[in-house]
Amino acid sequence: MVNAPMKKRFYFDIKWVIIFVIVAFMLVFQVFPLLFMLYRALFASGSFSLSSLSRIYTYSLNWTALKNTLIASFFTMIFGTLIAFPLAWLVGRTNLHFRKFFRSLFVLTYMVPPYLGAMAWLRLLNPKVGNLNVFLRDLLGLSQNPFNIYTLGGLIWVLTTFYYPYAFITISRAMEKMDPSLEEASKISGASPLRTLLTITLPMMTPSIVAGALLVFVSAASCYGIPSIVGMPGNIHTVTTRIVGYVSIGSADGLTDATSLAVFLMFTAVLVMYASAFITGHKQYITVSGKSTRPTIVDLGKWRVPITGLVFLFAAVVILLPFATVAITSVTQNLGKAVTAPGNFTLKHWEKVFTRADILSSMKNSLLFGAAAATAGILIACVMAYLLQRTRVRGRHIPDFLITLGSGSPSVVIALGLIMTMNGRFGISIYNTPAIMIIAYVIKYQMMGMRTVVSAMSQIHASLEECSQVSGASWPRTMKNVTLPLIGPSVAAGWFLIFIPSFYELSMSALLYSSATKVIGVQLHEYWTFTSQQQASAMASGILLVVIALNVALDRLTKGNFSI
Amino acid sequence: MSTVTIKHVTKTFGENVVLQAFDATFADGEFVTLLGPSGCGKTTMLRIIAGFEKPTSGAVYIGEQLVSGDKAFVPPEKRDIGMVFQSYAVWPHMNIFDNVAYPLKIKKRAKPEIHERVKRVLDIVHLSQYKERYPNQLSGGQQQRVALARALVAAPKLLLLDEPLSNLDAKLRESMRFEIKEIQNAMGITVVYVTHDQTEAMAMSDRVIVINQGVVQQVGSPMEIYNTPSNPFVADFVGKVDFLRGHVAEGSITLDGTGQTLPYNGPLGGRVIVAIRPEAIRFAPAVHAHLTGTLKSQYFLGDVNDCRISLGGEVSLRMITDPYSYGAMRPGDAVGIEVRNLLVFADDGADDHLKIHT
Repeated sequence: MVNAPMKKRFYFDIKWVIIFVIVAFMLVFQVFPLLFMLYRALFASGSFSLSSLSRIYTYSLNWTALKNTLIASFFTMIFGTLIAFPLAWLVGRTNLHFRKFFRSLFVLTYMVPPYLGAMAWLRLLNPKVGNLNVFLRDLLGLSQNPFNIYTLGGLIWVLTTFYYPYAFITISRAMEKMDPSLEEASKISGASPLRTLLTITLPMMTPSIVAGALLVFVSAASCYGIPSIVGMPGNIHTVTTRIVGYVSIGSADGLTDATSLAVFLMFTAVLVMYASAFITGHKQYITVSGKSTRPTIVDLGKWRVPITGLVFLFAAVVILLPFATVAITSVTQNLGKAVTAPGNFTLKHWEKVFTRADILSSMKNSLLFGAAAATAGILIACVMAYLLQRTRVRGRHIPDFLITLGSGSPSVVIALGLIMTMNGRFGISIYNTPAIMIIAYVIKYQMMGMRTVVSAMSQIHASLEECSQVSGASWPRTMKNVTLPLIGPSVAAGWFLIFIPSFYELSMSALLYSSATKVIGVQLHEYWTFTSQQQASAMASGILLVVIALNVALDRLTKGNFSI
Repeated sequence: MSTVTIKHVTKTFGENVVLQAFDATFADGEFVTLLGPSGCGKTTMLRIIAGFEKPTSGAVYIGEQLVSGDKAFVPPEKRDIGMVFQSYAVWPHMNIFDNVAYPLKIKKRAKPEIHERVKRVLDIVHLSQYKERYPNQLSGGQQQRVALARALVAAPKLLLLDEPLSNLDAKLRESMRFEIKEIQNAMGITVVYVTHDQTEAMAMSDRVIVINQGVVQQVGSPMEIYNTPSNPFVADFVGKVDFLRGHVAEGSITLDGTGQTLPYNGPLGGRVIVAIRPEAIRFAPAVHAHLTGTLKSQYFLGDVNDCRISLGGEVSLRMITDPYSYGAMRPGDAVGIEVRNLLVFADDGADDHLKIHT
């Protein structure tokens, strides 16, 4: 080709610069802080030593926190996966009643801040006055309340109810991609539906099940909101609550301990990510057939109604009951009495949501920071999608890898790293500014946006763009007329996917906020811990409404094609 | 080995009628092809026979047994059928031996018997040396043969094939055609084959059922549907054809827009559609010529000479003929044509007449 050399120069010009900028950003704000923490944990006294790590083992509170984290995450993973697989199968492969509704419901839980569940279950299963506890005691005629939420078991329960959707989404997405004729081939070979499930569906799904399970594990281990609300009152500490505790004390020794704990968490996360990538990468069974036959639906027969009832009961207990509890708490005057008691219904907490200056300003901060993070994240996502899907530039997988690493890093680890390195000590001083929070959100959540845009881009064959260029349109015009209209809905969806979790974020914000940059998650957490559970519940209900509204908007925007 | 009887089967998905009153009987050991364009309902019919779809009304019998109907439904796993899917559906987590042995394991056959039968069927499809391999180590054609072996291993009464060759390249497709046919001959099994490729249907079938928009258009041997298609749709779908409009008068058809006539002694009168296949005409000296025209273009394709001949006005015919005729004439030359065979259909004047026939 005559213009080949010209093309080559173009490569060197702009694309490398873009990659360089993104990589530099990730190196400065993500890789460097993580490495610095590793350094701090291993070279606390100037030379290499494992003393700071061994301190954790010897200091029983930290050792217990570590054990609690591992035990809680492990059981959350087991229970979450045990719940998620049957649900994914029932919703995707059987004639369960209201399948679509159930699917949306389980996916919605994924978008709800975890602390909301913690708040609700605290109200429901408080050992003394928990509503569900009292109800069950009276119902069964027990001498004392059956459950105590302030235990490791309680923590596992709440973690499970909020993290099983991670496995559910991973598994049902893989199930949708599986060629249905693989199961049909088994049936025509004479295998019963159950045998088909056990010998074909389940083995084919194993990589996704394992990946989903590991995702649940690492998410549960990195969660701060739930253990801080459910665990702390009962002195059940986890690694994340210890880290936040140390940072709020602010002592040097404390920071070293926090760093060591964070390094442990990071190590776990990286190990899990590696294992997950290994398993899904090396055993990629998912095959998409050319023909879009609808999967044959397993007829549940006489079990259809009972199983639907069971799934409904599950949804009621795990989703509707907590949501309702928080909503009811938000309109209750005196929590000691039922909301229906005379004079006990009040809207004053809701009024404050819209009038109190501190709530309004934190709400404003959340919207602003969330929007900034989403915009920055989606810009990077679009550039990355273009680089990954349309070019063969060498090095384009480096930023991709770093973005994946960032989103897999536990929130508190990202935040702690930023605190320790961005305080002016290395020339960048953004501590206590909005910038540090926005950067943290981008690092943690931009992958969701990137994956959405990349997959949209991968479905647009490059020939569509080439055809526009051959027709005489310039590259920017091609982008404007062809590419953007086609990936537009996905870009919008990606924006929301970064915005929503940034909007109600707590784990990182709890470490990074200052009085001027307090966000709604932190504000809510403070109200809950120090002031008024009702006020916090009103705020949580408000957040829930915003999340639901955004989901509906997203669904409309993408004409129902969007699913996370 | 078994007969299949389909009685008045209809299938609707919501508002959408996929099959209208399908009636057919497949004889023992017969190779029957359901042929039609995509979306015509042929795959749905096959899936009803397999038991993956239930007919909205009507009944399906395999042998004497009612398998789908108002009073009974036998699920796919109890129908004793072999099936090859378009996507092959070879299980990627099992090696070739385990894939093929699966139906026998389900039937709880003894281990030596399983080994013996898997070995025999793998020999038939020429895959014996690959039995330890996994599907991702095989080519598309080999995977397709694994699927075939798996469908045959339990010696089913009936073998269903859903466009099994459509994902293969042209050469392989042709050789697999004959392999499947040979296996069928050797095993004497009843085969129902679904395809949109008329050459495939012609090459393999004892009988072809041509379907369009859920309606059976014609049932017949390959020769019957090709030489005496029941309507213009079938004529068009099973081969190359040109349609000319005209009217019948006094033992001949006058072709619209040309003023030329063709002799005709058939029963039809009034407006007609004349269908002429490109290979049914050839150059002829003026004395033998039925039609005269001008050579518009000719293309040498090696085995044939592919010509367009203008009959006057807008009307033209395609002629596929002897390659040695290429170059004997030049575009623009006047030519005479002998029509060796023609098909005549009544013309009801509808514009969509040629494509859709219900």
